[in-house]
Amino acid sequence: MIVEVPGKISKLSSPKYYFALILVIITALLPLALNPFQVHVLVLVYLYAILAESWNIIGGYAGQGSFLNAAFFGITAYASSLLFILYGLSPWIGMFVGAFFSVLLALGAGYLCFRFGLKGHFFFLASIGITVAIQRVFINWYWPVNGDLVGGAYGIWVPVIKGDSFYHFQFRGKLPYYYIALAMLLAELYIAYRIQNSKFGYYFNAIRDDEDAAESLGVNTLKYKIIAFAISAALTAPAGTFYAQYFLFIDPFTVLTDMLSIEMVVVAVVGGMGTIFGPVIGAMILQPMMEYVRAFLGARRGLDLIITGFIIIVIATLRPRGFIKWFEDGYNYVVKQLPTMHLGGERKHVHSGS
Amino acid sequence: METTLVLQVMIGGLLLGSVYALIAAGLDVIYGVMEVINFAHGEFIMISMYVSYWLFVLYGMDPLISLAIAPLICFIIGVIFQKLVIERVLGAPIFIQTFATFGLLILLQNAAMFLWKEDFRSTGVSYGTIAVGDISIGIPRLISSIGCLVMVGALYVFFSKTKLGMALRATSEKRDVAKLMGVNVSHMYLLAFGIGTMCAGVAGVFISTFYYIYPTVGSVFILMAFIICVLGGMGNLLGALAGGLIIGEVEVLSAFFIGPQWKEVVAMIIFVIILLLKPSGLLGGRK
Repeated sequence: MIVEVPGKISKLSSPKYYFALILVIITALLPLALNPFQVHVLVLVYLYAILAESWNIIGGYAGQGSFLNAAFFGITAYASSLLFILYGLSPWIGMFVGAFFSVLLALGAGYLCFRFGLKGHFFFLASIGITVAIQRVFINWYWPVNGDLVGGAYGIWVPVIKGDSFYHFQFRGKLPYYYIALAMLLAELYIAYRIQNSKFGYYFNAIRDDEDAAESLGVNTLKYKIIAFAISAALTAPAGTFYAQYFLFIDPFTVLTDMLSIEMVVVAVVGGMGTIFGPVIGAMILQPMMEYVRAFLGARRGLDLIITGFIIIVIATLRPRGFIKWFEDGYNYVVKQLPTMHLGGERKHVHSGS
Repeated sequence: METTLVLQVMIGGLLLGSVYALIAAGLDVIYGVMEVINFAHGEFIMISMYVSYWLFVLYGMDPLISLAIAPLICFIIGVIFQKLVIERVLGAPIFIQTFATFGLLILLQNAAMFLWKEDFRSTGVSYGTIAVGDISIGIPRLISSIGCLVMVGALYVFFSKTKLGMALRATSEKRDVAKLMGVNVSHMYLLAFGIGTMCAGVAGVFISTFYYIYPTVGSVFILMAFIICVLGGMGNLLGALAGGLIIGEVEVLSAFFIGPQWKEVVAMIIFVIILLLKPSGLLGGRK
């Protein structure tokens, strides 16, 4: 769904902006018409869109293929869950603590790797190594809680609170999670949009396209690569807390695995790397497909992922630049059909656009 | 007694390290010629292990005989994948080729999961052990180690002495110039990917003589192989050998002194230290 956040109210008279607003409103009303499974699928779509969107900052804009984003995700999931269990701290606060540690990790790892000129695939591989090392640390790290040990290979169950509580980030139904995920995604899109149209965005793209040229034009490539990494880390963090509070269980094999980084890359690439809406489109295509393939073919383990792997290969071969173009064209086509809005006017037809 | 034990462990590290070296060499060949990282490399090891296993179980063939078959199968799959997928996306942005190999990883791993379940299997061949003084060495590991070292040596000779090897190197240096000199670049790429996956195949057959066989077994070896590749300078065969032996030692020594669960962490710390001291890899990258 292509959504553009309008800057000023007056812009709303142009179809380009009010159609975006219509899409946002449709998205907000959508869960009221869906069954819980469909809402669940949409929550996962938003979660993966958030992850791929934040990977996109370092991977798509700055062109540095990071595998460390799974570590940012996992560290924040652990930080908010542990602070909640050990000190009763609200996961919302834990989220910022996790983001703080993630940014620290990004600064440290980024400095270490970029300072020594690890580029392209070398950085790719080094970041996988660091991620796996962090995963191993968490597999062997236990915390004492009321005389018991939690964590380690067993993972952590987030204690369930009675009733709904915004402070404890726990709800009985799926709807509150849906709106939180949607809000997080819209915020990330807005941030990504602002970054792309700022000095940072141009520097990041210059580094991606030709690092030596950027350096010779006076861009401090080391500094801006590390900044891109830190932003990416900070944006990945909320998804970690969200995941922990949504599933109420985390372990190193699900939230700290390098497979998670692969999924972020896959989602971003399928949609279109280095574009604002690419990751969202990638998540919209892949996540429902995987969930439904799993629902239909779940009888024997492996078949769903065989198909996923096959589709990844096909997409990489046939559409290496992702599907963003189709959606842009579709959006522009719809916009062309819509008249300029006059205040007080009414429209009967609402196009869903996707 | 303590020294004997440490010596025993260190020999184990050398034996393991040479297997790592061959796996990393396979990755290096593919990267060196095409600048593609084959993420599905571990899955080729897995395929080769299963081939060796089934030939042993169904036809009673000794795993060492399947050395003639399993690597060939890996070679063919590699060439087909190169022809159908990688060749079409060589001009695409940097990560796309690697991205395609993720797809292959997921596909192959889950195909194995689907066909053969998650059971741990073992060929259960027993060649016995030999003892030198107080130190005993498992024959399967010894054969594997020697076999892998021979294979790395053969690769080195192939790349430095034969005409075909030189054509491959020329392709990796300057593709257009190689083309002008009459090298069929597309064939060279097919060959490079095939040789790379064949190395994984050879290593897989050897590993099947002493290790469990299960669908995700590739991931056990692939991570260390990645570290070795960066450590030795990507695309550098001697670097792969040196890196393999170092990481093999690091792995067994840290498993012995600190605990097996920490071996990846220790390997990463060593890796980071070497990066700090010599960023271009142990033997210096070519590019």
